[in-house]
Amino acid sequence: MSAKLIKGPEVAAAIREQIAEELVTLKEKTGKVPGLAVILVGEDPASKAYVGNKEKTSKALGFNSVVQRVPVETTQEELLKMIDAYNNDDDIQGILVQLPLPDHIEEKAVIDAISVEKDVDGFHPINVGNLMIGDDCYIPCTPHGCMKMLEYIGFDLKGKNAVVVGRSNIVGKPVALLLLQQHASVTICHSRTADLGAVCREADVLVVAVGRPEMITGDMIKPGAVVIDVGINRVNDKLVGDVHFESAAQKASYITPVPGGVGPMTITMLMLNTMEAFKRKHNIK
Amino acid sequence: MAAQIINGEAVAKELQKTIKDDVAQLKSKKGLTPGLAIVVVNSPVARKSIAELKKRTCDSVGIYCEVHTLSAHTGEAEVIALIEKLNNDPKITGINIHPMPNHIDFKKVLHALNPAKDVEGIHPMNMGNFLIGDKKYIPFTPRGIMKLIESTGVEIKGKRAVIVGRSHHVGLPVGFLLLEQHATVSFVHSRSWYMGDITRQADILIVAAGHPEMITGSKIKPGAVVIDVGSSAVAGHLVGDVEFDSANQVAGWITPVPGGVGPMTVTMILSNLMQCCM
Repeated sequence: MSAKLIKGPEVAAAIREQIAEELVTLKEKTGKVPGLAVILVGEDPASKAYVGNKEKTSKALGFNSVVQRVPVETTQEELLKMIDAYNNDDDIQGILVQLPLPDHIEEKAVIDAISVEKDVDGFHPINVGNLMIGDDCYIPCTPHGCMKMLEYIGFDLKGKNAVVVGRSNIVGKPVALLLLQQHASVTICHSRTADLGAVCREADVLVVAVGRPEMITGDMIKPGAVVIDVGINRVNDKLVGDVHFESAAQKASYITPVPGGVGPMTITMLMLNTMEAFKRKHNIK
Repeated sequence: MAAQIINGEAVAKELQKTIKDDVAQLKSKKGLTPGLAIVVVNSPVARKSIAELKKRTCDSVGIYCEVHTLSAHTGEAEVIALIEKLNNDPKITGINIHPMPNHIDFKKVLHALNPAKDVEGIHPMNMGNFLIGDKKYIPFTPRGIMKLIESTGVEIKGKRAVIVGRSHHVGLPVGFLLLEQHATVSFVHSRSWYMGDITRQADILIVAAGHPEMITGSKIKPGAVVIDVGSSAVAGHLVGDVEFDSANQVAGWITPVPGGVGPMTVTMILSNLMQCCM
């Protein structure tokens, strides 16, 4: 193996340290701490675990953490009322509704109901629109995490070729926009792309977010490329990424492992966005 | 061998016929007349003649149109007050705000606009919904470009599309429209190191960079569809971002400047207005 690892827990810890430091100053200035409200509808085990982790991280950083766990029968109207209450709560700067929601609740109506200023997940259409325009917005957590990993290794994107495999709303499209803002040339590939390998081999940076286990192999990677693997797939009780790690690590200069890569970044990015929301609320740059 | 010309005038004319039929249908079935309000603050960038052209085109297809021309000294608050009045005017289905002089913050004006009346598809709410696949309001120039590509009959699925330029009202949205049609999409720009290597792979090449004649034939794949969004006045005449003569020798299809993307503008605003009625 030749590639160096970009370790998510290490990068996340460095960012959390910065957050903790800044929090001290913010507390002195305002006498308050950032507040994050998380709503969990139902008992989905994965969602429960995610929400538990968010609560733990939020508390560990000294945020005001509010978690509302409500039964699966909760109606859309009841959920919208809860959101509205948090929209008007001065102690809460960030609101997150854990997805997916039960079938009887329309996801879009819920996302649209969250105040744009408190949409720390960055899923509200106005935030997405502002991301596209290049205006102030909250950057969705997973794409933001990918960018922080590139920043951590000091990779200068300017002028380079970046290839994004996958075109989802929560990863592929926003990460492409962020790479463009850092002045990379960006190509977006997907299941219909003819000769995916040839396109990937042009990439100085390859971001893979498709949800297909080990589909990107070493022969599709340009020697020396940086590979960010967003996929997390369970195969025979083992977690693997969308990149075939062993063969890819022979070619890449840097690579994110799975597990221990992009995954651990996401919650930290949520905390960063919540702190950002707090600063905006108090007009602190 | 010369490329086939994509005739923007002809495509626009065809679309206007459809719009005229749709307007008539809307009148007879629902008793509705679509209404367009154009807001112009007088200044060198205001392009008054375009407002007049829009008005004439509206008249010809049966759309109600009012042009609000404000003096060059009009303040921001006054423009916003007008937008708010039009937001609440039931006669007005869509509002088209022309470029504003520098003393007015265009962003503030845009944010005052009711997104449901955003015929240009440039309000952040509509941009965001567009990106995540809610297609009701789409930036009008990119929609026009898609119509031009459609007119060639060239299939988009699985093809390489390359966009030169990354503006949020043209480059980015046209890229995401092509992505939705299952093209593999690349964005390149002034900082790209390997621009020619990338553009030469394009089956569909969209150039919207604002640099006169920057794309020459040597940067084009033989047989490609080339859409030139640029329009700059050079030595007294209009040229695009593509050097026409050399590109014409290599491309399979090409839009001329003038006569390509330009003539689509007014028609696409009206086409978006019809979307606002739906």
